[in-house]
Amino acid sequence: MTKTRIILLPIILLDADVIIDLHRFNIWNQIVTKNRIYISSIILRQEVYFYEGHNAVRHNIKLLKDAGLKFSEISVSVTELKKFSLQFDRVLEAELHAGEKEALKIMQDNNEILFCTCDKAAIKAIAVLGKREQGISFEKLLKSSGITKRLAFKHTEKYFKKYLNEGSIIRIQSYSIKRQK
Amino acid sequence: MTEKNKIASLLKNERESLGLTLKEVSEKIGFAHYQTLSGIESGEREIKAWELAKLATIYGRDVDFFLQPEERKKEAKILWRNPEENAKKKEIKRTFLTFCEKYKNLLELLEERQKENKELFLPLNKNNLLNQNSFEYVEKIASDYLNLLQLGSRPACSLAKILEEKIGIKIIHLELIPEFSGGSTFGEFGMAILINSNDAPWRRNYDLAHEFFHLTTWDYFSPEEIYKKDRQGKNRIEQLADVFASAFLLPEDELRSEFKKRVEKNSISYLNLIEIAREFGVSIEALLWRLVNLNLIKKDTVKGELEKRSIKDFDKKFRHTDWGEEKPYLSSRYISLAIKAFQMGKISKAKFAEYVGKKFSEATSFLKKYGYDENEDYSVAYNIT
Repeated sequence: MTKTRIILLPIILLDADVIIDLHRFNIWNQIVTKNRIYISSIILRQEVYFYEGHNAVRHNIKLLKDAGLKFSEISVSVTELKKFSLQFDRVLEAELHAGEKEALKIMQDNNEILFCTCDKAAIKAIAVLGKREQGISFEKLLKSSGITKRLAFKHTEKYFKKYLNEGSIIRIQSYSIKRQK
Repeated sequence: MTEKNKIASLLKNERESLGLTLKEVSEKIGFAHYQTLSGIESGEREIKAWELAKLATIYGRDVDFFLQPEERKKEAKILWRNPEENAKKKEIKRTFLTFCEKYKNLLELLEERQKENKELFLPLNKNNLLNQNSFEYVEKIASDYLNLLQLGSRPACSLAKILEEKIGIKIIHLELIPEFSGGSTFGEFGMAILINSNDAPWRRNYDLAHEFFHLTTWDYFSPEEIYKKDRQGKNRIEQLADVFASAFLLPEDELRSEFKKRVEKNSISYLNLIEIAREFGVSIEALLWRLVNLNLIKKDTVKGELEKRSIKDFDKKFRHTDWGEEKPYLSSRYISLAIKAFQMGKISKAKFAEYVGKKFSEATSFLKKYGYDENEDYSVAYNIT
């Protein structure tokens, strides 16, 4: 009798910018095949509509039709979102959009989920939450999916680490997380 | 009241204040039945974060408006040309005030001091503003402000910049319907002026100067006084604001000098008048009335010419290129603050899109339009000596 090994694909939660760039680079299908992709509802339903190619030509991204097929939609309630928001002090809270807050809340509640973003503020927030190990750069996501590509600075591991480190400093300084009473 | 019920009640208030029905909002958000929204508003149904995000967009609010109602400030009053309230005005008011708040947030995020130099406001005499010689008094005020703000001989050229950067007045340009030319407000975010970006550049200059007058006299008049009309149905304060704008944008000595240069055989051509209006960045009507006021042209002549419309038609043809390629949007200072905050990682890209009133998918091209390439590394800095 042969033993069957089940290899679980990594679970990746994607930020809006990443979804757009995966479409722009025409590697969306490769990524969704090689990973278990999650997208938070606000990002799915309110942020990703199209990307602009050469000469500002708009290419529509119709994500909703693939929800439940190529990726899973995941959402939080308003009460959860509010509770999460209260973890940050006013300064950091103002930096993030509700879509990112929702994604970060999902990441915080699920240790197996990796959050992929190229947004400075969102990367910093990952570290501020003490979840550095749950952040993944665009470059690393592509590499782990077997894709090699010339990337812009914002997609690189170096960029990701730079802002993770900034977030960690904020965390260490106890600047942004409110003390739990 | 539970958290869920607080948000539910706020949502209902917002919908009703905008005069929207359950059905209309349900269609916009994509609910199959209006009962879903009704359930949310009654607190029976738990609301998802994405539903709140969509509703907030429909109601022209930030999500935080519903999440932190306790931090909500008293809504600032806006001074419009016409005090009548309607649904469209409510919507514009909301958008304008939201941008004013965001402007303030950006300054705070960037730790830039709110440069609200109220000491640059001249002390005024209310009696002088209301007596028979008030027009002369207001002209004098305009002249004093020109000197104080060092606006030079062509004030329109640098007015917006000086008001924003020297006095700290927040200027917001929005595309409005023709009946709205502008408005001014004074709230916890400071002073702000709304300008209709659909208007001609010279009209916008005039409106800016007009609204500036309202801000300089903000503490002197109650709304009742401002909107009060005389027996001829004229509004004195509005007239004063127009006199101020006219004298402010068309400084007497400079205008006389330019006028004299162009007079030939005791007359001045249409083209020369249009040239002067263009130089000073005002409309041809504003120029003509100012010339009447300075006794350089007869009132009847101007009335007749404006009725005939020929000079206006000339003006329209000659100045169509002055409109520029693009209408102003928000303000260049506001947008550069938002880009700076994004570049420094103080706001996320999605938040940036929200700040500049664009969809997330449009943010990249919007940034590019303003010369910012996300793929560049802007962390390079010069060492200073």
